[in-house]
Amino acid sequence: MTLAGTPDFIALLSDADSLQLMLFACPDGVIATDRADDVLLYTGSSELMFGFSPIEVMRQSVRRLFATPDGYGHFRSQLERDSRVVNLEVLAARKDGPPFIAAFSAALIRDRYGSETGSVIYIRDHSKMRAIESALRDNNRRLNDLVRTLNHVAQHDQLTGMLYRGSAIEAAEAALLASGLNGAPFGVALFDLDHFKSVNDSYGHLVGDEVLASLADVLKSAARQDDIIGRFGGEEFISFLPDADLESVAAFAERVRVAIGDARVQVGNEVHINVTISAGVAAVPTCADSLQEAIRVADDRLLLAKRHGRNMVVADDALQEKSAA
Amino acid sequence: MSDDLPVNFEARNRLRSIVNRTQEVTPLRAVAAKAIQLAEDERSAAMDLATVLSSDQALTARLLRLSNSAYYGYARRISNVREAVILLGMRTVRSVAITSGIIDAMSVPDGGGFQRDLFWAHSVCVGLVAETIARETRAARPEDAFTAGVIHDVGKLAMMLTEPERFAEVLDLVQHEGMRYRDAEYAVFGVTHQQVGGRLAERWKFPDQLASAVRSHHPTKPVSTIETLDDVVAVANLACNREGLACGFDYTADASRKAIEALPPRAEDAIRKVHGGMVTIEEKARAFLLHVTARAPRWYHTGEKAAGDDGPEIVRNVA
Repeated sequence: MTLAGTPDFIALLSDADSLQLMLFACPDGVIATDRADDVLLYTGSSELMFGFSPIEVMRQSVRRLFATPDGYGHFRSQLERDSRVVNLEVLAARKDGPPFIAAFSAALIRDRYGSETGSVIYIRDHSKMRAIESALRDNNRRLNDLVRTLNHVAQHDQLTGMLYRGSAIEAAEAALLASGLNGAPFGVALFDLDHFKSVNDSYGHLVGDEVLASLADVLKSAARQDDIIGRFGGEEFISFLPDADLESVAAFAERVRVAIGDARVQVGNEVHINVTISAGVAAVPTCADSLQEAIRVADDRLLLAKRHGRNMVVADDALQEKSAA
Repeated sequence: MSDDLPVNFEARNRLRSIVNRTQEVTPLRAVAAKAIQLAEDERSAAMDLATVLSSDQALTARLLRLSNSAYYGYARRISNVREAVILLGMRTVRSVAITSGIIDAMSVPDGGGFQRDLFWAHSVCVGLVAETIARETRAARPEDAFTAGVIHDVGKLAMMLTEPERFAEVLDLVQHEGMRYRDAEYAVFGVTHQQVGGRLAERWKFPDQLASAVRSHHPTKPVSTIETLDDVVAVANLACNREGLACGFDYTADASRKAIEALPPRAEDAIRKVHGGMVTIEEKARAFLLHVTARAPRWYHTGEKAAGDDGPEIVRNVA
């Protein structure tokens, strides 16, 4: 049994005083209009919201409660099309202040023959909600920026601005996955500064840092857009070159080696430090079947380069056979 | 030489019948058989491999479980065969597919002194040591070395499967008469497990070098330099036997029977380079079996320390 079926309910509705009480107790603004869209009912909540006194709006077009003609037109056309409007957000006019954003809900009222006799409109002030929403959005954006910054800091080495080892390998894996199953070759080059410890020992760690930073610059300028470069360890750097076969990655390493040899880091006014670099290179699939294996091979070759006089790029294992013999 | 055909007619017949019946009793998963035959070096084979493997859901599940375990230690989550092939490498995935297919097919139940887990523990350890040695010496592809190592003793399983009575006789001779395993085997069967295994590998259409490594994993003279896959597997087998990681029969617990031959120095180097040495390799083997067979293998202690402290999962061979 529904409430509407009870005699008490009918009695309540048929009593004009109690009906009025119910309408006026509603916290949302309630407005009823006649066929010409003139205001017939204007509750206290509406008055609080719009600031117009009843005398100013009664028998006047409801249009004046909208801040813009467009807003009213939009509301009206939707009402006529669907016979109802649900939470349409438009700018509402306020007598003693700037327009405010409000949600308009409405329904057409029809008589028993179906012709329109007017409409009832419910208005809710959304300006506070909007303020909270935009504050939240601001906050969110700030948090996102912060996360991005932190992410960057977590993944990048402060000194050289390069990716850390783990992030570099992760990026390389992603690049490899993106290249697909029958993808192009993938080059790996490992660099290590020669005698870096003696630079640190004789000039101090700050100069050592400068040397590292300049090496990073050389690497960055030698790399292509899609190449991934990272700091692998103390004075070790790694480059991943998508689409590069062994030959190209060896050529890249050689370019870097020559550029480092030419570069001079200035210390104070007079002294220039000249450093050299050793490199080991490998490529998938010629030297290795997987990324991890390629890094391992490159590392072995770097070791060979170190053993055989430094300042060189090693791209095969021939040296090792010589040394083993 | 051990890889020659058996001398007499009767032994040759026996070899043929063991191999034939093994193939009848334990057919290889279709996917493993295909994986063996896939072209080696063509890049397009990667696509074929991914397609072939994906058709076997059970195998795919195992492969992904292994790929995402600490066994390979990838931080990224590998979610399909394609990613596994790209990240782990085609040859690695292929070797996992083949070995897990064979472990699956040749699952001989425990009994009569045989313990399945210990057998495969030995085999996988040999595979891992062979992989390590191959990587260090570059005598063979590490993935091939792993595959060859895992299947090197498969001849024993075939003999046990098809002629259990004779096999029990061999074990009896070893345990109670103190014979060397290979002498006892030869006395009873007239063929060796190397010959059987080699023939099986040929039937499974393994590349020649893998079949050859199975056929000659007990070299007649000590290996001094590691040059071929044969050497790699032979040395890996020796290394495991020396550590007491010998294959699933109770006589292997006897310290006096452990292999004492010296390994080539480069093999020693390779094993030493693995962080944690043989213990790490053993743990990896356990992880491999756990993920590939989807059940925890029972294990055994190496060396003598097992005497008192048998944990719940640790099973000492019972004499």
